[in-house]
Amino acid sequence: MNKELHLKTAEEHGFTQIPIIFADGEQGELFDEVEISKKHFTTCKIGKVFSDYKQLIVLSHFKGHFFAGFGGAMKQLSMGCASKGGKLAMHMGIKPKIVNRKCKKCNLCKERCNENAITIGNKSFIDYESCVGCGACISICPHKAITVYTLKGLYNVFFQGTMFREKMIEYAYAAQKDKKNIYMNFGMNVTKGCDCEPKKMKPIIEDFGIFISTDPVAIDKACYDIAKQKGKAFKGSEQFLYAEKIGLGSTKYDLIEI
Amino acid sequence: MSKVYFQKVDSNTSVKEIKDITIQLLDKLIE
Repeated sequence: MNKELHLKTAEEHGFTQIPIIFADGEQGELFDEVEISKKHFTTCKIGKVFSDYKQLIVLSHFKGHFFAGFGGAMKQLSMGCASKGGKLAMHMGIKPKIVNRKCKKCNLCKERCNENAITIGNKSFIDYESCVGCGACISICPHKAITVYTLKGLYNVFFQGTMFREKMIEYAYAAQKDKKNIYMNFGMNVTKGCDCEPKKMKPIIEDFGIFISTDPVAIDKACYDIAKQKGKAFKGSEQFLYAEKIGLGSTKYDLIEI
Repeated sequence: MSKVYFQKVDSNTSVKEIKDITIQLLDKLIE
């Protein structure tokens, strides 16, 4: 994690009016092992600060996401609360690759990478010891020179996509375990890509509402279903069933307009 | 079955209205 980059991003977005806490330490070194005993993880590495709180108010922008399919409360819980090691554990298997014949050596990916994992040179490469597989380099490259669409990458995307999403759901389960959280989703400026992609994107459907619930599965399912009704069926819907199966929440919801 | 409360918004909804809606939703959930 790069503290300075995160603070700069926060400042650029006007978030410095509230306290900023690096929940897993400035180097991602502070975490608690939360026991869940599920299919992919026995324990999850959750940022240590979260152990101090019995309740979180989880604010999420509902939108699409390159790997997860969509992002809402469940993704916010998992990626937002996982320590650096936890993020690595979830992304394991997603390995971006620089296609050197397409690389123009503009350094945009190197500057964007929070993990300092990218070396640009005669033969540019990504250090997989440092890479957390977040995919930010893929989205920022204007030359489409970073991809997972190698033969191995195709395998990762199509066969491990579900595995990635299940891992994410297990981390969401760990992050909310023994807490009485409140979840708010904002179905506004719904874009194809995630907010972690450093570029301005146009909304793909009209704004549809602000939501609140104590159930992270139900609130995401409600947003997902409305987005689908409005013409955008995000991929990754299988994560709802897995989330319900492991006890994260319910896919059945009563939607009440106030 | 879990309850999900919501209010509709559109691209004309102001920042102040979004703040007000957020508080109304929180009030509704905890009432």
